[in-house]
Amino acid sequence: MRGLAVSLSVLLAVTAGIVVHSIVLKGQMDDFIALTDQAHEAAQAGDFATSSAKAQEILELLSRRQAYLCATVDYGIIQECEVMAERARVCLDIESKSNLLMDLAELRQLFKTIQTSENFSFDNIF
Amino acid sequence: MSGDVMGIVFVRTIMIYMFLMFALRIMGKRQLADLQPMELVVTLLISDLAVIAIEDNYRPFAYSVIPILLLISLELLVAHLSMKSVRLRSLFTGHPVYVIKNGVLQQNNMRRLRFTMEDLMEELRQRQISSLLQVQDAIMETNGKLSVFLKPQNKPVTAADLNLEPPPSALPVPIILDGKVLKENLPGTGLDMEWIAERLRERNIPGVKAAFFMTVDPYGGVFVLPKEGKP
Repeated sequence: MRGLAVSLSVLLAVTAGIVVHSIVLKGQMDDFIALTDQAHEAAQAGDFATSSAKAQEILELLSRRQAYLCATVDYGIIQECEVMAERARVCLDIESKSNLLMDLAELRQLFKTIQTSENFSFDNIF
Repeated sequence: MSGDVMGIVFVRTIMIYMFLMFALRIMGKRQLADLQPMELVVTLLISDLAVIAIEDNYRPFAYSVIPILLLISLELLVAHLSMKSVRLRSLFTGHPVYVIKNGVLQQNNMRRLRFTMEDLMEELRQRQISSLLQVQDAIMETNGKLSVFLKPQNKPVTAADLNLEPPPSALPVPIILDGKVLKENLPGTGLDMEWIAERLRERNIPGVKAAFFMTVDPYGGVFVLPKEGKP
């Protein structure tokens, strides 16, 4: 009976952990996407100071949540997000606006990818 | 490799080592040679997953820990179900198959097992059996080992065959190991430190620290090996 109890407890704990993680990660990525959208809107309006500040917020949030993200998401993709956010943070030039918008769109896409990659789907299994 | 990465590898290796120790402890004590085929596969899978966790720093630790935990729980679950149901046990681990039955070679079974005559002869030679004619039964066990039973006329003589009654054998209990008394072994023997010191003195060994190994059997037999000086 001990073997069965241990086995079922581990199975349950792992399943619960995965479900909780997917909910937590979705919420976290929603925060990042909201910040990216705000930066994107500011950049479109030519307000580079705000877009840079929002990019800075994204970097800080990534740094605060790094331990959790690195433990659960491929570190390569987190590094890509950091690079994109850093490029958006230093961009304060009107001539780089199109590049900035592209970077922010790509950053949003990366956050979306992280969010959806954790969604359970049979397509992803096979 | 930068210092940071080395540090990560260092910590990850320690974590994986501790985790595997815990995981294999849960799986139970079985010799590698005694593993069922499925248990062997699970063990190999776990070792592979552990290597990935140590080598690939970009991959989250959880990606290796989750499958290892799942494999162990499934293994435990299957083991439990196998214990409860004969049918499931037969399904999960198969059943022993006769290769030789009552001295007759079971060729169909050998074909099914893909077990050649060379394999059979090799197994028999390893057991110092030179001829098939000596074998009464040979059974391929579920863990891939061959159990061989000789015909009565080829079995070694035992005390029972000669109507002898040898005294019951008893295992000697280790009392001293590498200059230290194994106090946990003393209660069952009724011995004390004074008795040990006396036995050592009789053998010109000045004290416990000078003894490398000492055993006492239930009939009072004492074996002492003195410690050798460092070269």
